This record gives sequence, C-alpha cells and structure tokens, in this order.
Amino acid sequence: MANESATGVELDRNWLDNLSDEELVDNFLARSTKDRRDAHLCFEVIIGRYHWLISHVVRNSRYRFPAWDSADDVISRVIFKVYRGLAQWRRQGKLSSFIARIASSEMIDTIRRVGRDKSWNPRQSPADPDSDEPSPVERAASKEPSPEAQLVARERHEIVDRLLEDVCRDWKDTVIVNEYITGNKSGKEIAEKYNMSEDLVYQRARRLKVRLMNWLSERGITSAESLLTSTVAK
Amino acid sequence: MAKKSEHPDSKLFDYLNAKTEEAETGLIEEHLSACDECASVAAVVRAMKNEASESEATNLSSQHPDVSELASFFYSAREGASSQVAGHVASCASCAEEVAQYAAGERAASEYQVANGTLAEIPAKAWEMISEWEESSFAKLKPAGDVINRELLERLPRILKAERSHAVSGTGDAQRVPVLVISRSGDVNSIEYFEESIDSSGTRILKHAEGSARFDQRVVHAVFDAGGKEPVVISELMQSDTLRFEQAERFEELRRADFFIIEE
Repeated sequence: MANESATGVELDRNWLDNLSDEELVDNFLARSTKDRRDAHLCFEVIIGRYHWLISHVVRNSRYRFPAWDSADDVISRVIFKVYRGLAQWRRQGKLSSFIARIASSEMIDTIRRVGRDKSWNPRQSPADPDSDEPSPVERAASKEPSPEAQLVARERHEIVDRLLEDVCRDWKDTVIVNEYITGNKSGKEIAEKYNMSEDLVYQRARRLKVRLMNWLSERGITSAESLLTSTVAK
Repeated sequence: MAKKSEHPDSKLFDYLNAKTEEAETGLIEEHLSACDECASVAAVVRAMKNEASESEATNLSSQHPDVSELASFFYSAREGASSQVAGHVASCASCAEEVAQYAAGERAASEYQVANGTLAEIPAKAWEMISEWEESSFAKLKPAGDVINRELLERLPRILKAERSHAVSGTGDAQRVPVLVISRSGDVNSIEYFEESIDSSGTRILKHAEGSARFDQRVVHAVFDAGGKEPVVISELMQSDTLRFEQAERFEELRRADFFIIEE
C-alpha cells in the first residue's frame, strides 16, 4: 500500500509489485508530471517485469549488430522509448505486446540506419580479411542500365505492385507471396519464420491463387506480356 | 477435346518452384495446357519471380514504408489496413525480413510470463536519455489527448485562418478535407488530405487520401466554428489511416471544422 508522507503519498516497492500493469502505468503517468522520483520508481518496476522480454527480442533477433552499436545500446534506447511512449499504450492490448513492438521497431530502425553503409550486410557474419572471396566493391555491377531501361523496369514494377496491393489483404498474405509464391521457400520454413502454422500457409496460398485468377480474368489478362505491357492494370 | 482436370491449388506454386514429384509435374503441365486461367496465373507468377529478382538487383524497392507504417501494418487486425504497404512488402525482401522481426517479437510477447518482483536493471545509458528528454522542452508525459498548450491554443485561430484558403483551394474536391500538420511552436510542416464520409451509424470518418498510416496512434484535433461563440476543440486518436468522430450529428449545429495534427 502507498504510505502517507509529508509530501503526499510515498510509494512502497511491495505495493507497486502487487499492482496490475494498468494500475502501474496509471501511477507512473500520474506521478510523472508531479514527482519524477516516484515516476522513476514505477518505471523501474515496469522494466523489472519486462526487461527479460526486451533483452530476448533484441538479442535473439535475426539481425546482427555492427561493432559500433551493441545490443546493450539498442536495449537502452528501447527502455528510453518505452518511458517516452507509455502514455500511448492502448489498454486493449497487452503491455508485453506494446513493449515488444517498440523493441522490434528499434531493431529495425537500427538496421536501416546502419544499412546505409552498403558494405555492411545485417544478415551475414563479418567478412574475413584473409578471404579470397571478391569484396563488395569487386562484386559491384560494372554499369547501370540505361535511363530508358530503368523507366521500363520501374513501370513494370509498379504494375506488379498494384496487382499485389489488390490481392494481399494483410501481412500474412504478403509474406506468403514474397517467400512462397514468388520466392522459393517451403511452407515449413515460412511457418517457422513468421510464427504461423504450415496449414495456414497453404490455405492462404490457395486463396491467393483464386484472387489472382479472378484479378486477371476480370481484366482479361491471359499472359505475363499482356499484364506488363498493357494499361489495364493501371 | 480432353476433359479439364481439377485446378492445382497451391500445388501450382510448388510446381513453379520446381518442388513437385515427376508424376505431379506431368499432371500439372497437362492441366496448364488445357486451362487458360491457370496458365495465365502461372505466366504471371513467373513474371513476378523475374520482377522480384530484378527489383532486388536494381534496388527498385527503395521506397520502403517508414518503420511506424510497417508496425501499423503488422499490428493492424483489419484486412486491407494499408494496401500500399501490402503491395510493397509482398515484393520487398528486406521489408519481409522486418515483418519477420515483428512476428518474432509478438511471439515472444504472447509467450512471456511476467517476472513480478524482479529488480530493475535499467542501464545508466537509458537513464541518461530519459533525463535529457525530461530536461528538454519536448518532454510531455501527458495523456494522449492533452497536448495543446496555452500558447499554441492562442495562436491557433491565426494559423488556421492563414492556411485555410490555401488548403481549401488545393483540394478541388468537397469530400477531401485538409489537415494541417503543425509543430508545437505553430509552424505548418505540411498539409495532408483526408476523404470525409459519414457511415450509417452517424460516425464521421476521415480517411487518409493516400492510405498512409504514418499518423497511426496520433491525436487529431478538430476546431469547430460555433458561429460567434467560443470554438469547440475535439480530439480523437487516429487508427491506422482512419479517424472516426462518433456521433457526428452532435456536431451538425457547429459550422465548418479545421483539423490539425501536432508533430514534434
């Protein structure tokens, strides 16, 4: 229970430990504008509950970190963003989900930032300096396609994007198209990677095929050429 | 003419990935020679495979959705939450990897057992960032709807009046509503357009004209002109690309409304 003190209500750690997440966050928000010391104590209890989750999401990620940005740095930024964002937590979702979302977004943000360094690949282990493999610079394409070819490629890409916008209904559809239909991954690999059942992958693939068939038939498209060169998809 | 066999459902994709047994391959090829619908799907999927590898090589997928858009797309329970993001993720390998990161995070969250009574291990670096933020003028640990300060409120009528004519002349469409994106100091950062409609329950709905979810979970303020009386300000939280004002009829007596979002 909170104890009365000369300055108002003094927080007791045991009392905080017994609060629900909602009550704890309410206490944190209420005190954050009045008494930061108390707000910090509430926040310590929140992080005490979810520190393992943050650490797990960051350290078990598929991505690897560059030397200058360690997992500890990312965890610190996640904790700061949880502090800053707690007022935005919608109570219909679990606090664990809200915190995992912040941790995943921070991971992605970090990877995108460091990804601007083209010689760094987040999905590969560090390059061996003694390796005989050609370097990224040596592997780089010798010349770019002409502006006309780029324009044609971009237009074709936009047509395919439009088709995909129409047939994909949610993120599960999109990864099944990406990894199974146009990629070459098995249903089992996709199920493991995206945390869904293998049956769901095939069920969704069947539905996507029907939607794709209807989309093409409604526009009278019978070949890849008619899709990529005509304006019916536009 | 030979009778057409049953459509090969997802087996068609296995065939296109060269993952079917010889006997199955023969049956599918036989079907494709007799079925125009499946043949056109097969042709288009082959083209999509080529497009996917070409766009990766030429970096055509460089216009990635920002991280908050991608998060909204992943966490949205509704179908068709953002078709533009869906179209992009379906053909972009790096964004699909990012979706896998969200899926892993969500799995960890759903299986997580809260560790009650554990001592906090907040790193000093995190406290430093918190402290810096608290000391800065941007620290606003307030409920989501309580973000308009007195100074901004006093300046708002002038800002809205100055931008109104420009914004309205830019729409050219009575159903499109301009929403100003302004900083806390009152500078207009941009004007976003929303499509307005009222559903059967009387809810007034504003939907981002380009389907962008970049304002997901942001508060949108509506300043209603009460005709000579004090203006009425109503704030609502944006969900993905859509804003809903329940019981729109209670605003009928109010005249026009100006909408704005405060962006830090």
